[in-house]
Amino acid sequence: MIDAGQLALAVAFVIAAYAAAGSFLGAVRRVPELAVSARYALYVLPLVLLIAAAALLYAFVAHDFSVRYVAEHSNLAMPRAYTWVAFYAGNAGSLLFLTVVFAFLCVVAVLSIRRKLPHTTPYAVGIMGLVLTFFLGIILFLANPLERLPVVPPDGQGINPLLVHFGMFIHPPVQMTGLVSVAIPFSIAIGAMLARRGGRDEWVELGRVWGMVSWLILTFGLMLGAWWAYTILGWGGYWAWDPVENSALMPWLAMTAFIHSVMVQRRRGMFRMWNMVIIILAFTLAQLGMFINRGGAVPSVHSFAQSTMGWLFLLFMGLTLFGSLAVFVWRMDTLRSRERLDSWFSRESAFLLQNVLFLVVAFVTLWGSIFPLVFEASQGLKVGEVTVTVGKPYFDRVNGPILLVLILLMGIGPLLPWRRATLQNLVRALRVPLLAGLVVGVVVAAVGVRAPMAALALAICAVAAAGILQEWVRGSMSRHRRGESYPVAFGRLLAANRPRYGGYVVHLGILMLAIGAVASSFYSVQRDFVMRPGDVASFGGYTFRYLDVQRISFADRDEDVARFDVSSGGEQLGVMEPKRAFYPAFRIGATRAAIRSTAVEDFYIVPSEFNDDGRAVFRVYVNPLVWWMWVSGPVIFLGTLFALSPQRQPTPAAVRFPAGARTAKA
Amino acid sequence: MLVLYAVLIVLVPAVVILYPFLRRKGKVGESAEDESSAHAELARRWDAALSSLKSAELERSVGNLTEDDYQWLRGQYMAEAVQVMKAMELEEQQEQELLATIDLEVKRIRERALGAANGKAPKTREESAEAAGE
Repeated sequence: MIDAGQLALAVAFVIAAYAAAGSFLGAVRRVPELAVSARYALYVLPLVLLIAAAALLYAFVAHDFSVRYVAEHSNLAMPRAYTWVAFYAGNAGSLLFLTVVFAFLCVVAVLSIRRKLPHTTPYAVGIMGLVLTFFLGIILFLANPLERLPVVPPDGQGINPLLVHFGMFIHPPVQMTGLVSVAIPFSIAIGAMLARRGGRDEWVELGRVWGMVSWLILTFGLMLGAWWAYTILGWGGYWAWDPVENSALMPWLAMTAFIHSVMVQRRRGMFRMWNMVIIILAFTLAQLGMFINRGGAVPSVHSFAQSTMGWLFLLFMGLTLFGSLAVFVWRMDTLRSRERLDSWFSRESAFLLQNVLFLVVAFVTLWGSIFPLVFEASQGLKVGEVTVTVGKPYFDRVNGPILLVLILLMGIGPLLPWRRATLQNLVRALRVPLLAGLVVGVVVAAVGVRAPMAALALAICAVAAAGILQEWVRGSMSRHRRGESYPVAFGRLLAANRPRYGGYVVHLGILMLAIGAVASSFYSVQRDFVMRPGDVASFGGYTFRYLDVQRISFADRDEDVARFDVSSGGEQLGVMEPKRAFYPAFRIGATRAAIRSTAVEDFYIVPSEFNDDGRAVFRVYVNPLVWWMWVSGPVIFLGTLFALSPQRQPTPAAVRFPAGARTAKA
Repeated sequence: MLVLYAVLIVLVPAVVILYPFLRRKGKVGESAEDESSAHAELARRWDAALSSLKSAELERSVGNLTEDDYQWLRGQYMAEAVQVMKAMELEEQQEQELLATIDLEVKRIRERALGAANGKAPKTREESAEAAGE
């Protein structure tokens, strides 16, 4: 089975290279059979890759420690359920995983574009083929997960304990898929430019759809990562501006800018060059993310899946950046906008400003992430010789205010009309949201929110939320006046323009996320407690009695499980069990916080250490409104799906293209 | 067994990849030229123009497009449709008939969107805009 997998990898490499070369050659030389054959090669590629993936899974399940990757990332004690996690726990396996996923995504993408974008498709296939060839080349020659060991060990080293968590079943694959999925809208956009169709806007609708798919996957990867950090890393937070976190955030920011600005191109035929630049940036940042993930050059808590081959990713990033910019310059004459900005008070101007701010946040984040490398290089130090990191305060202070402006633009941008807004338009659209913001600002100040930034942030969130509600209420009432009941009016309003109203749902989700982040950033409290069994302590309105601690030994770890009896305001809240595990094989400890989460606040206990004399140290947090951050995930997901759902438009036969029409001038 | 796997892994993709070339020789099934032929290009442009026109009408009827924007977009899409018709070398009467059916279809969409049951359209631009909070 392993040999079959090896052969499948080699065949897949050849197929991917053929798909790339054949597709470009077929398009340039106008040989349709060659282009179609290359496209078929892309179709068959995932099936061949599945054989290699199946071989690796089989090796894990059969505990075949003759395979180096299996020996390094599993052992006999590992529960079978974690085979899935072990598959991508290391560099080679994760590369194979993302190649398989990307190959499937490519097939779906090509099937969706090939009829609507017949000229763009061969070039898009060529670009996808190039990316796949690169990944498969790395897998085959540098990081082969099916490589054999000369001597077979009796047992493997086991899986990294930090990965043994439910969040790890989905966070890494979603995150990796998100990063690589940016290549799909990139391929469509560059393909359109190569086919001299970049300025004809046909690619925009499908580029937007795939941009949103990519954005959604990146969003979920980020949120799952934050949730994993919150529940397992035991520091009471969810976002630390760690380089690997940032590496996923940067393409997300660029993709957010892209999916908004392509709407302007779709509607007004503007921003054609700008959209190309943004998607090139997004793909470059996604590749930078892969480099940071695998390079090991930037200090990070994410130590898994690192290797020394990150520099190859950097090289590939440089080549694709140079290549795509060369295509951009070459085809610049086809990218002239149909229209110009009529006024700075218009929706497209708001989108442009929002785009610029998203990119500013991305570059502030990029600078903070790569600063250690720049510093080491400028000081003539070797990589890792001196550990330099850029901390949370830099990112919070610089990005925080810009993100607030972005939320404000998210609220008022969609309320502005296209082309230009008169003073009357502005007053009518903004008076209710601004009044709502003012009221909320005053109320939060009155109830004791003293941090000016927190009060401002909550007021801005209120402006954005009121703007969305105003849109829904006005639209529903208007339809109601024409005889529809309110529920029907609301439903039909949403159905009439799914991208727009789905977008509003997503914006509501983002607001929930922002409110949770603001509240927990400004008003989270923590304290350390040294306790013996039987001790009682109070903090943040909670009273907790340390009942006992139990040591439980497993094959791979020893766990100390503490039990707390928790109450608040005289109400019994139950027993909470934070735990700390030690993995001798890895010589690392891992904590599991006990969290009681409500819509108001989280009560969070995490053990720091257990002493032999019976004393234990616990860190206790009260984090307000964090629950809203996790609930925002499904809201964003459903909103995006609604925005992406196809809108039925009747097409009577009478106005269809005459089937027998002759064609003289194409 | 390994030989069987090897044959399958190499042979199946090879057949799939070579199929477009074999098909051309046998002249069976869809032609690879179809997707880039002039006819396909014109059909796609025709569908895109009509779809955009209908979409613009729908947006205007719920107030998402101002009258000026709608008229501008309509002009663009109608010009595209006319250009395609010219390229199809239709008779003048056929062109007129096609343009008339487009107008009819757009009117139907407007009625459907505004609630054909009571036949009431928004009286003012403001009311129209309220339908979607523009």
